[in-house]
Amino acid sequence: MALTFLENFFIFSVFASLISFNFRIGKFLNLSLYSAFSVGAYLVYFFGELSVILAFLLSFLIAYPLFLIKERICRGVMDATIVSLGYGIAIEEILRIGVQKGYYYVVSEGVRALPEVFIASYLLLIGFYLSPHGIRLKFIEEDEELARMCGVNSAAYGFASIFIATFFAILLGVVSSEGAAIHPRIGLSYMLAGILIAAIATIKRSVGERNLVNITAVSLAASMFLEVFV
Amino acid sequence: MRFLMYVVAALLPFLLKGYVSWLIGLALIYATISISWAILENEGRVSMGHSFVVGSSAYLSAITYLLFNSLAAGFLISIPLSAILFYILKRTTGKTAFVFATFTLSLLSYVIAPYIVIGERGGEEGFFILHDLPSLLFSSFSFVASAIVFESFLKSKLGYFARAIKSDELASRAVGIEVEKVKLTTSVISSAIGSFAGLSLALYFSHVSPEIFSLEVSVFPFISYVVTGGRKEYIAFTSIVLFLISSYLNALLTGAHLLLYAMLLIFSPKIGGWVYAKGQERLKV
Repeated sequence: MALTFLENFFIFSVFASLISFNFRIGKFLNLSLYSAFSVGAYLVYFFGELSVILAFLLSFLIAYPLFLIKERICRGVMDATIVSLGYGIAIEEILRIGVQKGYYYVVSEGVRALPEVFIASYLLLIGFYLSPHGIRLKFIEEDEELARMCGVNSAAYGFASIFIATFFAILLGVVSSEGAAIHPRIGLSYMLAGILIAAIATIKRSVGERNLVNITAVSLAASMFLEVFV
Repeated sequence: MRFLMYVVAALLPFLLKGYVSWLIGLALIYATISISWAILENEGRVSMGHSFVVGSSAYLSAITYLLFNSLAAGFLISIPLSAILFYILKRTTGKTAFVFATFTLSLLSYVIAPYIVIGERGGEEGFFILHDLPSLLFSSFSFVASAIVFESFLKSKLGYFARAIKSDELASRAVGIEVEKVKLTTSVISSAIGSFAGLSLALYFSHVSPEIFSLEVSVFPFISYVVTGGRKEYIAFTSIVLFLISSYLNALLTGAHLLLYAMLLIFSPKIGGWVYAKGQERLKV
């Protein structure tokens, strides 16, 4: 029971922080993250511990085209969000067509490092906010256009946010799929939880590392709620 | 002319036979979903959660049929339920946040639906509706009726008010349009048509499962709209054609139609931009 509670807490808080970070810096709701999670689950099934290294390479391959499409053809948040949904569906279908030969794959031996991924993602994001880049990130969060006018390379930070979100979403899939029957939509419910938690945490209108603290608190409450009522 | 085309499309399943007839009947239901979606779009609201409207109608009808042997009760509950929810979302969110909110609503229903169990029925398997109603006739009738309501809506005062709200809500208020009333009315019309489509789907398959809330149903009207090139008066016809192409692709390779949807979603801003440019060109002429 306690293990499920902790697992939920780790997954919810990491997913919500990634969605929020991507939204605030990349300036769109990245709906392809659920597919990135599924990619992670398939990686660990086929490649075991090697999947952590492959996750890094794959996240670049996934994030860069999405960033390019977003920069070249999208006119705003709504366009980019719809594009990311299409991108997510495309990855999902490529997984379904390319990988799925049987009905379900069950990951018998996964990589047990969920707390480590939680710590690493939060250390990276908080470190990012507390470093000299932090002030630029907060500037982009509050007014991207003004930040760009003042010489902040918002496109580079935007790409970094998509890359980090995709990388950790894949890692989450890698470390949380042990014993699970994996399928291309395995990450959908986690992404939903992440969106809801990130939306609730936004109510306090904090920026930077304070928002991450809010997300952790809401994730804790959500995990407790699930533990008690579901 | 379009009225005639609607009638011809609705008659096609009766003129053809076998699988093609069945497929066109199903395409008509998807076209009805797109019509329901287009009514909201006319007001400037892009819904990415129309599977909720369709699914809640199908689910509630199946549940009331199971409990009280009445399909109508669930169907009638679903109309105000969806209408009120969409109206609340319109009131509380802007145009961009509405997309996120409706998408989250549909995702939430998709995740929750497998947990709906009544007695020993429901869950992942869903509910069966054993009936002897003429489902094809019902689908065709729903399609024609929805199309007529849609065409009348576009040319009515309400339709023009909705379009004015889409262009500039503040200006619409300034010239005396009762914005909230229009928003509520469009929500009710859209929900009613969407609920008819949901009931048609439930009757057509004699079964409802959590898949009715899937992303596929949610994104289908938006994709049809993109394919029309922004001319929503043709959305019913493009939906039928798109559905038939999707079914063909799916038969060739399972899931291939979703790749087509994905590509259309990815390039939707480009297609939208092209449509906008063409519109500007037409205006200059």
